[in-house]
Amino acid sequence: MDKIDVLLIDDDNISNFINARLINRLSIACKVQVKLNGQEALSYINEGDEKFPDLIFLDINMPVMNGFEFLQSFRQGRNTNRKAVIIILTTSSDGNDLEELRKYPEVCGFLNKPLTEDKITSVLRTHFAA
Amino acid sequence: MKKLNSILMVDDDHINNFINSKLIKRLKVCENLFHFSNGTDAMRFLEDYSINQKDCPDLILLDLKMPVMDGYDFIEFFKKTPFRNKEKVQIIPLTTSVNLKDSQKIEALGIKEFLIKPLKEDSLNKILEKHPALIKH
Repeated sequence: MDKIDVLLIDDDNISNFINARLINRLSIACKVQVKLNGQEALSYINEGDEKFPDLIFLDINMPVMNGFEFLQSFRQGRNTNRKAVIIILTTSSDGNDLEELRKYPEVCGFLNKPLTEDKITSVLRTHFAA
Repeated sequence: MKKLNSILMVDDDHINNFINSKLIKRLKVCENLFHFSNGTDAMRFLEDYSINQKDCPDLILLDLKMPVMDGYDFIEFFKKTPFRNKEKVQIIPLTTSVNLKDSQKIEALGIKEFLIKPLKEDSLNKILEKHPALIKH
């Protein structure tokens, strides 16, 4: 499997630290980029095609621009024929949000926090099988 | 004897936490004792503590092998985060066994001392004798 470009979008520094560390340890990514909210992530992605990630782990509740707003803006964003696999990172308190998020065609899956090796491996197997 | 203001214990083993808490309480070496069963919860506690303008605990007794955020990750994250008064904090890793690779990893993180489990009165006292907050000026 080719190494992939991963973007983490979460306002929680501790989660970002652990998740980035885990992804780096698994040696699956050529790049792991961390953005603290949807807006930061969008401006990063829109900088150019080379910044467009293969896989996005997206938190729901964030200040400035939350997960929902990110998904909407991401859809309306600039034209590119590249596609990103977007996985929502959830916590047990996200019940109603999940129902809503299932309506977004951009969302490829849901994973409960924290990420683990098994969860990441299953994402790779499902969406990036060689 | 002068007491520490607070000690933070981080270990995913509840029995260890229980026994170590008992020892620390019996020795009356600190005013406040906090314990958490993983690095993430302990780190969130430190973040909240810092946001509420409270100083970091004087001593952190840290298990190294824990799920999600292990002791090494804990130390690394702690070092790069601006907690209140963190320069006064002493982190002591607690381990079951130390091989060369582990001790090199600990040393690389700037930690000079560690304790072998189980925590004992003697070894805890040795750490406390040298703790900057307890040395008489």
